[in-house]
Amino acid sequence: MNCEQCADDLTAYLDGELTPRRAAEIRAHLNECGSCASEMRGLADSAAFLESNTKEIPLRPEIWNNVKAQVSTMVAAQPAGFFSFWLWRWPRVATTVLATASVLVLGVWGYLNYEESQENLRHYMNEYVTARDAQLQKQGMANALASASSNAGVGIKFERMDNPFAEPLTDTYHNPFRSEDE
Amino acid sequence: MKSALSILVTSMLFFGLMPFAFPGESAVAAQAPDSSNVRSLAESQHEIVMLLLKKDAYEQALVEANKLFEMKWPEDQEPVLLKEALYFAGQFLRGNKASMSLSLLENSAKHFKKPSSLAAIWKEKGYVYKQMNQDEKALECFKEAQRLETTGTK
Repeated sequence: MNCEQCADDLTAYLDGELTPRRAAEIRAHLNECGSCASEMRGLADSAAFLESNTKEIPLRPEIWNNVKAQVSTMVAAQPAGFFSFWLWRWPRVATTVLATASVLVLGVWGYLNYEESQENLRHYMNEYVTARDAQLQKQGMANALASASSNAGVGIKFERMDNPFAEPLTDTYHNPFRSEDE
Repeated sequence: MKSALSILVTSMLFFGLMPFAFPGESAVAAQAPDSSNVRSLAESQHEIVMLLLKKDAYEQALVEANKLFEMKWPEDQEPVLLKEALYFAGQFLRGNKASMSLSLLENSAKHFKKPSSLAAIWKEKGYVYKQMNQDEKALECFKEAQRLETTGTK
């Protein structure tokens, strides 16, 4: 054993915390090494001095009562059990819940709004498509009729089916630039 | 029948070329568009387009139809022009030429100023896309038409 190892365990040796084998090793080293023995004696003197001069300081009753009163106030303010967890955290919990609810409501509102606008748009489109289908069908029939009457050389008069306000045409199809066709 | 058609087409081409033969007159017409002159030319142009459509010459018909919109039209003729655009779009569509119908509508749209006319063009474009089973594009067109109709701005 060297001096450094001895110094590490010197306090534990004095307190009687070492194993018997380790304590014997320390004891052997102290017998051989004057420096470590001197160090050990200094430590022992310090410990003896502390022990002989230590006395208990009596706690004043008013200090103790004050501490007891504070502890009992804290205990009374904190409800026991499951609710205490939520009660002590309610501002943060409430904020989180409100934020989440707001995001959720906004999301649902946005989705419903979008769906409604898409539905309106589809309705708007279908209305036009239906009307336009009918218009083109009538136009086709009018053209076929005009073509048939023209081919037959018969001046069949027919109403322009795509425009109820138009003047009757004699033997031709739609031409918006013809004066009688407006 | 064929000879009658060829006479009609020749006369239309002749009258159609008149402004080029007499540039002084056409210049006057360009400066101050006269509704009746333009309409007269357009009437002939319309017949040319219809003849070409009957002959299934769709590409040529599209070229001729586009010329019709590029004439110097007074602003008050926009409703008639719109009617014509929609009519030809329908004719191309009936001939299963949806892409030509779209091309015609896009070209004609350049010549319209009123939001209501543009909305009508967008709706027709939407209709053509719908016929092409391109519902997403159709919806986009109708959305634009709806916007034009509600806001009244381009």
